[in-house]
Amino acid sequence: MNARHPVHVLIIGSGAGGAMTAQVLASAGMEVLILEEGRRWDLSEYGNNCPEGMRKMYRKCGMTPIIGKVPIGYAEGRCYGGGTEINSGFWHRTPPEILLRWKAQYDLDAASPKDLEPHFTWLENQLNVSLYGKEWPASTRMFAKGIEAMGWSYQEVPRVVEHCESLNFCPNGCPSGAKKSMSRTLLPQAELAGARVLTNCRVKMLIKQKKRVSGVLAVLQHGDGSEELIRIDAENIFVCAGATETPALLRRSGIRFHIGDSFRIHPMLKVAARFNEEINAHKSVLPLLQVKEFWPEISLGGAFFALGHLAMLLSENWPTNWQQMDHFKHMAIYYVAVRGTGKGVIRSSLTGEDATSIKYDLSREDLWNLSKGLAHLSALLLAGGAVEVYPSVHGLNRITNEIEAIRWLDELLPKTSLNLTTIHAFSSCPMGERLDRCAANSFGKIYHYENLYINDGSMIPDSPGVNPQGTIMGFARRNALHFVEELR
Amino acid sequence: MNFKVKRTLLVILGILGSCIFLTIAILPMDWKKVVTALSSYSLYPWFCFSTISYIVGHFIRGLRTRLLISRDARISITTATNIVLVGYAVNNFLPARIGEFARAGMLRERTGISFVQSLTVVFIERIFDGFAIALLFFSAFLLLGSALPVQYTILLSSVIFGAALLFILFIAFAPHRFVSLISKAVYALSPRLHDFSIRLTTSLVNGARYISAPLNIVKIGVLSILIWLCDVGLYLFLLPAFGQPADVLHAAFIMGLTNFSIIFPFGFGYSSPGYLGPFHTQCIKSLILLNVPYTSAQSFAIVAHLAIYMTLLIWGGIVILWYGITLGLTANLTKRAKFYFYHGECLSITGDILGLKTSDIVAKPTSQFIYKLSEAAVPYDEYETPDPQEVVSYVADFIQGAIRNLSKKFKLLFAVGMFGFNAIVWLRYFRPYSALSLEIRRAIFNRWAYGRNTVQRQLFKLIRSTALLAFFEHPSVVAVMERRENRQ
Repeated sequence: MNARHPVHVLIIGSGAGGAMTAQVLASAGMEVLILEEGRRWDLSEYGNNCPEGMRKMYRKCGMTPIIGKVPIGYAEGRCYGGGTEINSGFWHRTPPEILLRWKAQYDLDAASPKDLEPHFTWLENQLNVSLYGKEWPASTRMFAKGIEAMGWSYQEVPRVVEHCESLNFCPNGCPSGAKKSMSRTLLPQAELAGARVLTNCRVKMLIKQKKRVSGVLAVLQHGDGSEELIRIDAENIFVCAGATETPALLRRSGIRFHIGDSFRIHPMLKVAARFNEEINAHKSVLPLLQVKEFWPEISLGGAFFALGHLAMLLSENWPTNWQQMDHFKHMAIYYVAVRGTGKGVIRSSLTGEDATSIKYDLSREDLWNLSKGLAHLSALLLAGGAVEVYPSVHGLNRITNEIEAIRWLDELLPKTSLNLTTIHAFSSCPMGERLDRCAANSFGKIYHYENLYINDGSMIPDSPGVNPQGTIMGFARRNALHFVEELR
Repeated sequence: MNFKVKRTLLVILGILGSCIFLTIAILPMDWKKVVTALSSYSLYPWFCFSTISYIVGHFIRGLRTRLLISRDARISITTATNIVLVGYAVNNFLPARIGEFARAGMLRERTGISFVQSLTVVFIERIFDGFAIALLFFSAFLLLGSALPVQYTILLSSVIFGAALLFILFIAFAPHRFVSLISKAVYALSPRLHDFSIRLTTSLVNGARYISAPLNIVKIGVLSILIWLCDVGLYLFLLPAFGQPADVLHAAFIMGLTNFSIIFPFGFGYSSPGYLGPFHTQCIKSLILLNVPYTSAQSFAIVAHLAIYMTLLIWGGIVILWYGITLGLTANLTKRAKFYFYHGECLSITGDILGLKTSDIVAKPTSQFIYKLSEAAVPYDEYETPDPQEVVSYVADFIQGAIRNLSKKFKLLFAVGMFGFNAIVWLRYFRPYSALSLEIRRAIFNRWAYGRNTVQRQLFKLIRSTALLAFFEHPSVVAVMERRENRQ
């Protein structure tokens, strides 16, 4: 009879944090097992239309609601590679002022720009972080024209892409493999170094033994739909299941010290703009620029475009706006994102079912910033040549001139009419040395446990104000290397 | 034995455990006296008011606990109240205030803070309780006239609570001094115990941190007075039922004297399970001091005790039962799960010994109602696709999938909402929605999905958004749209 053998390192989740952790630890010669809830898809199975992509690669078909005074739609990945398979691949280093703020507010050690520099440099090389490098698509050109007309500062956001073919499949898995998602980069490297991956495996709970976690209980799903309950013992466990599932799993397992109490998001309001020129946003890469003028409170940028997405956006005022669908070749979608200052909590279901409760209450400041952001974005788009702007706000059918746009500098958008979404979630288990607000120490080790770590978006102490992939990966690499050092 | 049977057995065991708990709790009661007391007086509605007042007091206790731990953890008022209730319920059937330890244990389990810290929180609550009772009792004593022979009670409680408050305020306001005192003392006595005692002391200090701000002391003080005013309400509402005037001073006097007899483990009376004996003795004594006849006083004491006892028995019993089942299920799952990792190899488990369920991969047919809603939601006749029925089916399948992916709570809310929708349609047209013509169905759908009523719009948001997304992503529709746009 075989003897039981605890895995040296068990990693839950294969997204940006999990893949990074696996790559570092497997390369250091450790025995690594990755558990991934979703499936592993081949490149040939990528690049579907939105409904198919959502069904295959998103948690709950992309329909995860965030409850609060204003309901917010939240979408996150659930497949081999996690969210990196379905995002736009935008890359930002953590801004230095944000790092300073985290030091002041969370006493986050060893996290200065200098400390993180080698990790960002390594990652940028590995993931080929680069600018588009070709002529900008029309949706970006129009946006640039508007920004220049307004005289605001902006940047072209680098992406983790090599030889982008502008197929416009970013949120449904890049079929050309140009996007350097985790399934194309760090996960194969980890597997090559000996890491094992178990997909279709949802971890139900961690098994606690005093101050240690001895393993996990997980449900393994087979191809025929049958499921089995399995137990895997491990010496060290990294929970990298994302900003909502990591705290839910920890809380389900009875680990609750500052877990899920400080959830943050970047609430996002989208608008569609109609131009006289043909934009063909459905056949090109999404707008690549970001307005930095109002950062960190407000960011303006471009969003993914598909006919289905345009219809969803227009659906807030469908009876008056549905005919705009016919002009889809002249339209593009843009967004206002704000650095969320509201309060959010993550709770696991009382019955232990797969039903994480996500709450976020939009603050008045968030609402003001969204209103001002809508004014700025609409004015920008009109200055850039847009004929009409269609905000995703019920009752606000369209904005056709600057006077209508700047109205929102002084007025609050009606809360109950907003259709908000987000794809950026974090800070549900903040790390730092302050015991009165942090769930884990500065290197992601959960307080009061000897062998339990987090290494994903949940550990980010507060809103980074930029796309969080770079921050998550930079910190994940730093933490994983620190773990290796400590063991040595 | 399959999982469902095992789970059912476990639940039955939990219920049996609860019945044993009930038996232990109920047996010591002298039910003849209870029945006599209940039948001799007209208790309705006074008993209800009395119980409600007591229950409100427990919710305020929950709020106070929540505040005291707010620097380290966030829990809902319901959870906090349940934790308090568990403590009270355990005190009901175990002697010597063991319930305080149970309460601290559950607080630790629910929040992740250390046991010593939890116990400190309970200790602080008890000190404030003592002061609030003393304040109300002394006020009543002074206003009723100082001839009542309770000076000994007043003196002793002042000394005990005064000393305890001074001690806890010292910890709260001079934590460093306290830690250093302990450090020096323990190091001199036993250096080996030093680190351990510092850890304990730190937990103690953390427990008292909330009251290190004067304003917070006021908050806790006010809440404590409110709690005991609610307990005063318990006695106040019962007085008229026994032919006594509803005098607040009398009620405060009875509450004070009765509670001082049970608040200390080995105080004025011994702390028996459920305080049977000391409670009645002191309650009767206080009533006799207020010139209430002995028989009325005896019945009053029995009924007052019943109001407390039954609340704790039912509410506390449910919480303990739920808690026990959760822990039992967890332990059962851990034992039952098959070990999955031997000698570094993932095992391929075959057979269905551990099969939990068949997943939703096996497609379930889309309901007729969803199909009819989808038909009304999308403008399929505007876009002349070769296969409109197939498009609508595609849309309906996608909506059905999205609904299946909702959590149980949302599914229930959605089902309730749709039931309401169908009921209203029935009342208006005397036919189910699915049986109406497309034109009427569209009119109804548009009124609900795009109307002014926010609740209706939110209910239909899922259907409307997913329907439009799926419709405009369907290849036939995309092809038609391309042709239309080219023609324009």
